[in-house]
Amino acid sequence: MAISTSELEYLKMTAWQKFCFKFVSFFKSIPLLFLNFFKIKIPNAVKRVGRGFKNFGLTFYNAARHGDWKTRMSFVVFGFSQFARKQWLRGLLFLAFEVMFILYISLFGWQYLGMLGTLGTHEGNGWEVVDGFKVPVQGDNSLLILLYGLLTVIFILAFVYAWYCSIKTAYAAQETSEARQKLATAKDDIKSLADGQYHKTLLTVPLVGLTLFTILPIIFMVFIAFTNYDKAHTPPAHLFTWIGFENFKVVLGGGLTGGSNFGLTFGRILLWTVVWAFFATFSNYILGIIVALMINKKGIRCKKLWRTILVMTIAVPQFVSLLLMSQMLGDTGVINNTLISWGLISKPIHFLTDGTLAKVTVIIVNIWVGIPYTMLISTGILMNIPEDLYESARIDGAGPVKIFFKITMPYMLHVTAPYLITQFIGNLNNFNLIFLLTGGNPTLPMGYAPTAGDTDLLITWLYKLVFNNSQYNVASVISILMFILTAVVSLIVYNRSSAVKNEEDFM
Amino acid sequence: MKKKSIISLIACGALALTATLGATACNSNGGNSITVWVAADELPTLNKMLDSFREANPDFGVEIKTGIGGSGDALSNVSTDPTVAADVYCYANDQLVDLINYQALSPIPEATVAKLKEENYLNAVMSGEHNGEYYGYPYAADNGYFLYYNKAVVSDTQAQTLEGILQACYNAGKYFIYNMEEAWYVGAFFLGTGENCVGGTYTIEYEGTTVSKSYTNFSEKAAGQTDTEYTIAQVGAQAMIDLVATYKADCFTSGDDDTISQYLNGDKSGTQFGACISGTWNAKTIQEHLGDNYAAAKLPTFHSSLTNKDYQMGSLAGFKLFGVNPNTKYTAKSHQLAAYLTSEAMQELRFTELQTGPSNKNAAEKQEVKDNVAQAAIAAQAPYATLQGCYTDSYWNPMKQLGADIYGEKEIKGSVTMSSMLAKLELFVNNFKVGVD
Repeated sequence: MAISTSELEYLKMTAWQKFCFKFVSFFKSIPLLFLNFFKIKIPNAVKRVGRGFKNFGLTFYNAARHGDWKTRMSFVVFGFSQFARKQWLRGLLFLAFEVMFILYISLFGWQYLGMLGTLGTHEGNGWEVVDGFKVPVQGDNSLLILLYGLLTVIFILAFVYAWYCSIKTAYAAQETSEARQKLATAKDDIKSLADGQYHKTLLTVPLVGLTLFTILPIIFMVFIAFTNYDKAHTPPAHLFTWIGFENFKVVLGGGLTGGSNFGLTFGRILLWTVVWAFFATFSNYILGIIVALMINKKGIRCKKLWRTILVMTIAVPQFVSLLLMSQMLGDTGVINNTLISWGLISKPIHFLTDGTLAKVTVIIVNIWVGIPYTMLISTGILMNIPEDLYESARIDGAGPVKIFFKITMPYMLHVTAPYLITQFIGNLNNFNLIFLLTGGNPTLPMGYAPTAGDTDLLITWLYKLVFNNSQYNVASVISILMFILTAVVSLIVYNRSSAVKNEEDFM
Repeated sequence: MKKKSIISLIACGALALTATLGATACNSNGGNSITVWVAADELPTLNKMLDSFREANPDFGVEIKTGIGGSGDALSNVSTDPTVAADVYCYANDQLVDLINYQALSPIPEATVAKLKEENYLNAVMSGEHNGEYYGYPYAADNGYFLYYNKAVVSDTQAQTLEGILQACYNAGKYFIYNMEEAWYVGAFFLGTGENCVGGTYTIEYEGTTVSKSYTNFSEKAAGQTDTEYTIAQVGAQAMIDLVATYKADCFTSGDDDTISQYLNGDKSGTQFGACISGTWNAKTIQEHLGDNYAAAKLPTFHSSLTNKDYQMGSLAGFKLFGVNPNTKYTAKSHQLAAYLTSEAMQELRFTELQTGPSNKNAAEKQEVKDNVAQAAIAAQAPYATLQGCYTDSYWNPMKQLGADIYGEKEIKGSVTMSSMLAKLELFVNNFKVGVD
């Protein structure tokens, strides 16, 4: 805690000074955090990777140096040693994998791998005449080249790993048989899958699924950020290719056409995204706790009824309430019409069509859909706070405000800090609310990129760029930057939250 | 550590299998049938057309299936994977270039093109043209906008000028609805001010190839403005500013089809609808609400406070066409079917059932088409209409921004002068030229 202040000095401070001190020391500690990261964590990680490589190389070296001919043959023919030592199942699997790999690369993989550097050279322009009708000539498809090229690279890495495993197990088997111990048979192997290796049995399917449906698309998307894949370069009729960091320059304000527009817009939307996430998270949090406290208060009747009423908003699907809200708040919506017919206003209030007002509106509507969740969570926690704490505080003469800040809030914060962080990150990417309520509108004034609107978050802007404007490359850059933002924020805040630092303190 | 490898081996094997399967499966195309996509509400009509097609071609030999995919959504429906999209589908001509980029349109043989040009309005056939090839069989020529008005509020003479309409609406306490936040409609003020609506064609060097694109030349002088400095952009933008500054919320509002129907429904005192700018798709709704007071006409003229002259409002005109997917198994038969679906008889059927304005000359000359109020209005607007397909992507977003800025009074409230706005318009024009979106 204290950087240059002793604990005693800290305790002497007034509440306001303490707050300021904490605030300052938090920001002072950020550079330290980074320094720590670069000075200790990164070298450590490098060392660990280095050790891994060393072991990797050592395995090959040992097997080549000390291995018998059976082991050495495994360098060329996967599973040879296993076959020779009558470990049929393993040998078969290794050999099958090698055969499959060779077939895959020679029949399919190599052509995509070869074109990965250029993403295709032959554009599918022009026609050929088939049965009197013109048919477009099929050129190289950059998208497929990138996809299958990446898949091939992953496959090659897997192949190297399998090679390593084959040699390692071959050498291990050699050592075992030299020590005159019993070698594992196919039966043993299968048995071990239900016993010692059970975790692998369970994790194989998720791992394959994760690789194919999450990791591969993510890598694929990251690579798109370095290409010129946009509307003018859409496969199959056109090619796209690598352009390095051009897209990053465009998004951050440099680059060629429209760069300044984009940088300006990106900055504005990023700022609003952070502001939105802050207000959306804390307004819900604080108001939710207050509502929960009010309902929890002794002497309040029909507690269940109030809770049920609030939970009703959860029972209605969020998108339904949001679409209804956006209809009601429109310039010609129910709310404006009612106010006009009551004579309270003469012109409609632009809840959703005026830039600033729309921002306020989305935060308020978010309170409507968000409070019940916080209320539910905090109700449970509030009921968990031991009553004797409150009692003794009251005996010592503490008022309700003091009790709230000294007992309730610290307790709540300690338990819900991770929840707050996930809420904050969730709000940075709160696509549903913005998209369904305002669609990101109203449009930003001239001088900004016309694709973005006043209430657009980065995520909804990204959606528009992809689905309405086919600017895949720029959208990909934005999503990378978004990932960095959310990762940094959550790592710093999470590691500094009391739930992590004082894990044992709970209760 | 010993048995570690087995599972990773299986995992890798599965990976390889999936990859190989995925790669080999990617070129398989639909079954032994031809699929036609139209919008859901057109399906009953399509089925009638197909019945008569089967009757006329008993030895066609291929089964015809139907599916749902409207002309407005063709690009998003087809582009996900052209190889599994319908063999014959309809699209609006503004999606032409994108569809070609996805290699999702098959060119029409020259002989057929000649026949199409003979039977249809030339503009309609040309709307499916790109780099000398023709990609569509036109069937609808009414994808544009014009004026609807309530005869109880606006007289036929008042409907001739924007000022007349607004004055009439103001007096009656009704509204004139014009969507100023949608690029398609915003063009009306600019397209009308130039004699040659489209500024021309410009060519740019784009990665080694020369691309020619059309655009509205906003920095050109307005028609007949030889002695003053006012450009098309200034005249159009000023007229929009005047409209918003004088009439917004009193008797003018911007809004989409939902807004139009809201004003049609009105409040306790009846409909609030005075006039609106919209297209044929709203004809039925508006007619139902207005009854005998239903009327439509070409767009009005507007008076420019800058030049003190009147200009005819322009419009964008689009067409709808049937295209053939080159990934089809039956190219010739699909073309035969598409041609039949857009033939004179079928366009007449389409008009009777769906009130679609025919692109076929004979069908359009029929008395019942001419008697249709909305169709007559779009025909009257035709001389002032610009083919919309020629606009590049860089037109739509900035145009929308411009309209929204003016309607949101971002250009009126502040201390915005014409010169500061001109700077923005200049940027806007430049953005067109370089194709910035």
